[in-house]
Amino acid sequence: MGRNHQSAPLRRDFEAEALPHLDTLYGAALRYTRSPSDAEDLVQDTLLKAYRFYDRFEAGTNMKAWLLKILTNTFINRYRRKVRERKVFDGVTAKPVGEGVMSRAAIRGLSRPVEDAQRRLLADEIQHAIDELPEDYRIMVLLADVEELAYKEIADIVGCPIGTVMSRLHRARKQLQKKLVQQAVELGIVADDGAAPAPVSLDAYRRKAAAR
Amino acid sequence: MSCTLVQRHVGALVDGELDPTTQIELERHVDACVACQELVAFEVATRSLVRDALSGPPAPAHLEERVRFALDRQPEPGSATREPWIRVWPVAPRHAVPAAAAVSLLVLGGMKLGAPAEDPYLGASMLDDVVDLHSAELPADVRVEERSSSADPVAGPPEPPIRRVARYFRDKVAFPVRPAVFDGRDVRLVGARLSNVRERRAAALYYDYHGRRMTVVVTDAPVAEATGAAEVAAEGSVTYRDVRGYAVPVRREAGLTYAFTGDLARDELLRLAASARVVH
Repeated sequence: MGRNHQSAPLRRDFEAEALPHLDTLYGAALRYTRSPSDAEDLVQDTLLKAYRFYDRFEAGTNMKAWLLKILTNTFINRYRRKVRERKVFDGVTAKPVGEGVMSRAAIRGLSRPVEDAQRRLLADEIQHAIDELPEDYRIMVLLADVEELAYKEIADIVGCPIGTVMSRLHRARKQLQKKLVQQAVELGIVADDGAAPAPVSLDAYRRKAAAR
Repeated sequence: MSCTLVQRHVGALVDGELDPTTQIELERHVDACVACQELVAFEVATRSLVRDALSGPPAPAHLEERVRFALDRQPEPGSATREPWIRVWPVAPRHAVPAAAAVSLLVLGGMKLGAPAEDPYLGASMLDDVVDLHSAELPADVRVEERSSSADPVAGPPEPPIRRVARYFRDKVAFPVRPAVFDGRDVRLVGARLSNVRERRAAALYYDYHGRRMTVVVTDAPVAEATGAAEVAAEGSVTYRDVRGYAVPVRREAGLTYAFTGDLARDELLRLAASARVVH
């Protein structure tokens, strides 16, 4: 039995507060590292680090966000990639993510509940599309869409302004959605109306008409 | 017009992260607009598809036990605050690792990726200026001192040093200078001076740390490639560049570069740089 298992109230508090997030942490670690054994190591390192600095954790604040911050930092430090990929995604060579690139039929089709079998087929494509995102964007999408953290918490974790979180999420999500729709059309899950994407607004329609 | 706004901000709209006025305005518009309702429904639907696709298996049963076992061997929380650990390692310069370059080319697929154009600010030369600036020990343009005892009863309480320095730079440099603060550390902002880093205007902030000087240079020049990185306790990590035998920690914050130099031990400087915070 651990020497301070029963005696240390801090240890008990920590376990009571942190261990319920084990599945969340493991899920995030698995998505970051893509390897079950690396994910386990990352979770263990995160929790040990969190315990060491538990006295700095402000009671009443978001424990999950705090743990995810430590996990993300630990991951970034250990597997830091070059910033170069990001430059391409952010820079002038980045293709603009246009509005109304998706047909209205596709948008309608995917908004309806999708069958389980089809969901599984789409899941592979989503995983693939996520993997293609630059690291920072991938982390932001995971923190926002899976962990459902607030932009402020994400900004704090990633260390950038909230505006950057907003614009990168927008860009990353648009790219994901585009691939998702392409895949859904290919799999015949949604119908492609063949025609040019339906303009969703009068403004867009006018711009289109003027361009013709 | 509102449709365009909804298209542009649909993600933040669904997240409820727009500023309150815009949020309400757009929600009201969506209530009345079928096309935008479809767009929002699509956003929500794809979000749930993403969540489903990425929600992994639960943690394996043995992981909790493994963590508890490791925790048994950990010192009590708080022991870390007395002796914050620091781990420092070098980062290989990018031209020395063709293998890594090949990997990123692979990742980028067919995208054309030439060698990046030589940017004058990308080199370590700008950090030479930072080190020179600190060693030159030039007098401050603006001095700030915390004199809590001598608050002028007529003028009211003195302006906080941070605000005073920020105001001093307001019409002198093209970017907002927000002095870094060091929570819970005995670092005092004592003055500031308008200077140059290469051809660019920069703000030099003078700090005092237990009687030793530290200079933080704020510039809008992009940051030089890191030569090393350090992980500091719970503060996270900080990268640094080696300049003539000094480690110059560099942080990027809101598009600005903060470079730290000081008459301090390297670990101490890295620790301070990692704990620095910019108040917006």
